[in-house]
Amino acid sequence: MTSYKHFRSIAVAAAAATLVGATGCAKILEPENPTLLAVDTVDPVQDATTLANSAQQSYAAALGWAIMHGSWFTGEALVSETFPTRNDFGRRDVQITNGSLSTDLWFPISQAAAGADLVLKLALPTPTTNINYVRTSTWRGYSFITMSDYFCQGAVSSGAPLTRTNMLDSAVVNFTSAITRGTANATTAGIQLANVARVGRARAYLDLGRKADAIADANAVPAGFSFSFNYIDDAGNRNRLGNRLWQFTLDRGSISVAPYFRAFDDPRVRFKAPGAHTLSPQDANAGPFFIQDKYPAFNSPIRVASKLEADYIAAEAGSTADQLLLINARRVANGKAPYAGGTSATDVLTELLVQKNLDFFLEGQRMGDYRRNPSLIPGLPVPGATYFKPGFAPIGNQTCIPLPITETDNNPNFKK
Amino acid sequence: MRTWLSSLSAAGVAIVLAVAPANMAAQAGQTTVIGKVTASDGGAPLADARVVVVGTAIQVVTNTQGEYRIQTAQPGRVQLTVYRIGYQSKVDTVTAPAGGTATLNFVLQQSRTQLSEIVVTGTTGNQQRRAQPAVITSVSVEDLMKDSPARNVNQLLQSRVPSLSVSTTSGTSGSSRRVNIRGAASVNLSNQPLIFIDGVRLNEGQPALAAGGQLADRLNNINPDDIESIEVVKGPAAATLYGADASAGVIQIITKKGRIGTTRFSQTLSADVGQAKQIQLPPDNYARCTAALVAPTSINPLCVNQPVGTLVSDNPLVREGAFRTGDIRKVNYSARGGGQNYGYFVSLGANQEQGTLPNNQFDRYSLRTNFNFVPDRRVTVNASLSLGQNRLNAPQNDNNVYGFLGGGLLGNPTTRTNNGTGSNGWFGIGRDLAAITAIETGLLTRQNVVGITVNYLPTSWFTNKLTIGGDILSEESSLYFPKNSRGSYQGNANLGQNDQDRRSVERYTVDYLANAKRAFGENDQWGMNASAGVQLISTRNDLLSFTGFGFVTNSNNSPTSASTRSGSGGRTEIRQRGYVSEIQLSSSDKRFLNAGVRVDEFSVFGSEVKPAVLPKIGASWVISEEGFFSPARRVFGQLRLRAAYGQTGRAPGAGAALTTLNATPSVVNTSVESGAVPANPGNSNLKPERGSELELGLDASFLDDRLSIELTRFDKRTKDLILAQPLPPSLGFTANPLVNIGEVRNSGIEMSISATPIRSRIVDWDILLGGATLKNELTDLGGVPAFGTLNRFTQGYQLGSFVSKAIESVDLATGVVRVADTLSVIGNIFPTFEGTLSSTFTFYKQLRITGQFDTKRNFSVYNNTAFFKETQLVSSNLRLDTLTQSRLLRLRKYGNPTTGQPAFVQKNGAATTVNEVRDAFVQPGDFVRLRELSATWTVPARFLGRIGGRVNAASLSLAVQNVKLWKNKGFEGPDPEVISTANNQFVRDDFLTIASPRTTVVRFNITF
Repeated sequence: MTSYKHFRSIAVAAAAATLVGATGCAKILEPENPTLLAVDTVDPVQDATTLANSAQQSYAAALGWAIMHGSWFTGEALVSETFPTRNDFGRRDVQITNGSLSTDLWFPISQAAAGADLVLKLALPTPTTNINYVRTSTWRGYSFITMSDYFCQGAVSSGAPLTRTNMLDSAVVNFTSAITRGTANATTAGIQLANVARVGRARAYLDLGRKADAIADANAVPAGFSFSFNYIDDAGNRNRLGNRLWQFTLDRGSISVAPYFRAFDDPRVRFKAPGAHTLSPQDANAGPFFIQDKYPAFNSPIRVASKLEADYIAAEAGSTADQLLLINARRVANGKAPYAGGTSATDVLTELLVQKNLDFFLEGQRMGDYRRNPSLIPGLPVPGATYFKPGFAPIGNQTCIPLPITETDNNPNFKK
Repeated sequence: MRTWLSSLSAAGVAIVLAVAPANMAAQAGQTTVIGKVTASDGGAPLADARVVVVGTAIQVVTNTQGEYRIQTAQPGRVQLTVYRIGYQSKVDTVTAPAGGTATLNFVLQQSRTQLSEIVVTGTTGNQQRRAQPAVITSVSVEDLMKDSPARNVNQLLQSRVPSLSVSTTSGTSGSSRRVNIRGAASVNLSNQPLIFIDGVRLNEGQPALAAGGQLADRLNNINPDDIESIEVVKGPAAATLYGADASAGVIQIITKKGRIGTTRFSQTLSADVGQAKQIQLPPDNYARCTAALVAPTSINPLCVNQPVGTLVSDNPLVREGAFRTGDIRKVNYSARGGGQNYGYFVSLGANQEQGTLPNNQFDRYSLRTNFNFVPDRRVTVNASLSLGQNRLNAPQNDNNVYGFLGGGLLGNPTTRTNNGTGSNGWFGIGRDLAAITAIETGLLTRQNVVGITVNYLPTSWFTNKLTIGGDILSEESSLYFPKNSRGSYQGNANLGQNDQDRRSVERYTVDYLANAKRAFGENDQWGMNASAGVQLISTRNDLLSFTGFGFVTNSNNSPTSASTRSGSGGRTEIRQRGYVSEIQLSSSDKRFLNAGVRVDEFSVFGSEVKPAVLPKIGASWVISEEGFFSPARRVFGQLRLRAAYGQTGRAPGAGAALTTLNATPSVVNTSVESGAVPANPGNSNLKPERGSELELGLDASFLDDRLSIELTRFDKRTKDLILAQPLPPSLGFTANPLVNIGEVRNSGIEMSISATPIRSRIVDWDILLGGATLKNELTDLGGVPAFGTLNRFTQGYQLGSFVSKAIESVDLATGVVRVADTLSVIGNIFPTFEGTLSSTFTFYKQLRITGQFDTKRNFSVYNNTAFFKETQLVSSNLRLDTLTQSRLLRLRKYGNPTTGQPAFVQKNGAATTVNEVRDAFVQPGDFVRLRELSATWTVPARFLGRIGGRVNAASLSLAVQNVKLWKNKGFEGPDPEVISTANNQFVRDDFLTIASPRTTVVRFNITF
């Protein structure tokens, strides 16, 4: 009987312990979750530099996606893989339900714009010179430029549909802020970003048809200026930190340099023929795999803004004589004879754009050139022509890319 | 966390230690009751019947001879109750002399309506089925395993329980099956049921394999030979007491226990030997020869010297002998026995399955020990420990450029070469059978489950039950691309690439329940059963990942040997606390009223959310035992009516309510620095989905218990549906916030008919017919627009219904195919009817022959393999040979072939492509399958006697699974059950997925 009493007291104690354990410890329902980065643990002012650098990196990542899709759409490269959604870009027939359109093209550029906006909305110290404002204004401006080059419509922050002019105007506003603050900041980084923004604003002005403004900005860019995004080869972060063009050449086998560009035999269009490399296309039906060699590694930089681009902008906005001057300079610099073609304004401008497309091969400029001069860009996939791979419908006639259904369905400002 | 858990564990251990000496003191002068339990039909001894001393914690299980032995502490009148699945329970009394032995034998009658069967799941205390308002289905695994060659729990459940739908997602050995109970109710959360084993919550789930679309399955870790029975709680009406995460149902696995009170020690050895054969081989690839390929100098052996345009075919998988006969071997040894106040069960199992593809292997090794101990007539202790290790080597397949079927089915005969170079008919260059086989994909799992349950009955009417347990799981997944000089893979994989994941999941359960049961009134006419308790569940998930590439040799491929390395990792933890209470009132043990509530708190709920209060109420009435029912007894043996209503929930994952950023690095100049981008806007009001269910039903038996019916109508509504509200990408968030909006309704009728048309000395014929209808409807999307492309969530239709721009007209003359402007629903993803028919003939009580058919009706499957072969790569003769299909079908599949014309024309005149018009590739999935055919011969006792009397029982079985498939003629794939994207619960497609093989297994069982 003594044993039973002993036992009973233990059992009661165990039951009581259970209840106390269950009810007494308030921390039971507050486990640690170190994987999560709760927003309230980030100090927006102290961590503004981190957020601004992140916005810049988001644009660097988005630019790679944009260049790749634009290269297919404008005929710089062929789609050497099986994804129907990517072949639709090569066919200039991108449906709004296209998954690649939403996740690989529209979302990255939106993320870059939104990340920059996050910083721009913070109340940071020394607002007239704060480098974080300079940085994020610059890349938000470029986000608008890319958006306007690629998409028929735009949108930011779930706002109203933006026309191409709206997007370019927004780019100008952001670039102006970056130039003003960057110049006032006066550090190396501030001046550098101000010049990047100056090239960007010149590009926006050119797209808007404000040629004098474009020339003024282009001429203000210092000689020899060039800014490139640096990428690195971090095996764990290649999607965000690596060169996308190389990633989709090496890992995916998706990009094969188009015959039109190969035919120039120009040092600016660097590629390797089958036999000169050991890589395989993802889609054996895509034919011989001519890999791009402009970006031969994950850490290959991509040029974003330069005096050379500024020169092209100034020339395009300027006279035919200006254009011929630049054309011949570029041809000679790349081992070609001086230009001997037609001298009409159209002929010369066409040649200028050809030279620009060679100089900026796989740099994401051709989409904008095409939007501005739709009839003067040779080498585009021809509407109605048979696609180079069997089974697919003929090439479509899109001139810009529609917003994905993920935006138009879920953005209340798009509802009819 | 560790503090309170440790204290509880210590308390549990203290109980056991404290009770042990008390037990020793209590042994002297005990009274013994012995006896034998036999079946009324033929007098066969009944093993595994539970004999319970009424009003105490003492219970024993009969041995293979049907014998039991119980020691009671006090002499005098002892009341015993005997329970056995498939038989009516029986109560009897014997007077036992002090220190002496009394004998009490039981003869049990077979019963189809298991009203007296004890159910432990879905109730706060053990209850007879007659008192349960909501249906809880039991599967007697021990009986099933005598005939079925089931090698995992999913196979045990397949087609056994109405409304429990099991889909075999592929023919890969060791891969997962999709399990849904009463349809899917959640869009963003799992629709898989919770799994408990002897009251301890398991780490259920299906870990990813880096092998394509298939998943592994933690249910495969459990050795079926260790299981006594499985109880299935189908919906909220019964699952309320499992809390705010149980709305998809609960599966409780009850393992075999030792035999207290028996002095006999029995051992069972079972051995399975079998093979698996791929009976549906992939189709050939076709292409037309070009001028270059037919030239005499061509190295294409198919085209050389043929006329230009010759249609040639190739099947790389068959040509290079990709399919082999798989091998199945399973052996299990178990020992069972006990002493006066203890019992034990020990089981050792080894299962080896070799799949039909070259590098598919699933091996499982398990050890289980269950120890039950009755230190005192008021205390029982059940302790269990299971140790398991599995290794799954999975073949690459599905939507995967490295897959066997991808490599073979997407190849092209024009690439054949007579020297084996290039693609040689395969999809990738240098990626032939040897290269695909060389990819090593593995998952090594170690799972240890420990649990202890202590029952304490201070009085005959008051019980306390404490269960403490843990499931400690580690999973090591690996993917290795061997270094090669052929460029067989893409990118750095050719340098040798090693991807490793190390996941550890620890889940602890603490469950305490007090139960008071009193009878009162004249002849104890009234009964009251009240329970209250608390349950804590904590789950911690750790993951470490490594990727490295660039090895000197393939044998030296450890992480440190890689020239380039990267790693990552994370941890999440979720905790749940629930309080339960339940009361049941009964009258004359035939009218029952039941009410309960569970209050749940979860660490994942939003900060503004109050605890979830989940009520339940129900009634059960055994109307056939009423006096006024007497005239109807000529028809009915038993009839019970039941009704139940209850609520449960489904909780989101860790951190779902928080506003978060994604930590993701940035390049600053040329160095990497930390960074963050917007991730999830969060939702501080996030609460669990709330499933409420009304269930009405009846259980009846007729014709001298030769026919029984169980009929249930369920209506489950899931409100506060958790949806990842699609945000416009322009907001820049990487994740969509979870919000509580919308409603899903699942309703249907379940029916189970069991009959014995023939019962004679020579032959018995038993039939089991089961079926369930399902109406799954997204009744409210809360204002969110329909979302999804091919599988879309549209208000008024099934979740994830197939959509397309439906074809409205086809002009055979002009080739113009007109389609709708918008997407509309063209097919179901979930069958609206599933049925099974099982028929068993037993000859001379010794030879049993069973056939099991099952069917799924009215659902569609996206035949993406055909879509790809016919519209993207054009390597199918259906496309290339214009005579194989009608013009109408060609136009429907491929659109207008006229040059310059759009493939499809919308009503509004706009052109569209086959990507949005997939009508012809969303094909009817209806099928009837002869799932299993088996014959079991039970060796007669007279033969056993000749083996020296040491063998108690022996049987030999031959079983064939996946015997025959009858599918709808409109389905062009091999198997409508396969799902190439098993990790997406709203995809039902075949994309380069291997079909289920036919397996033939011989099993030998011997007990001695």
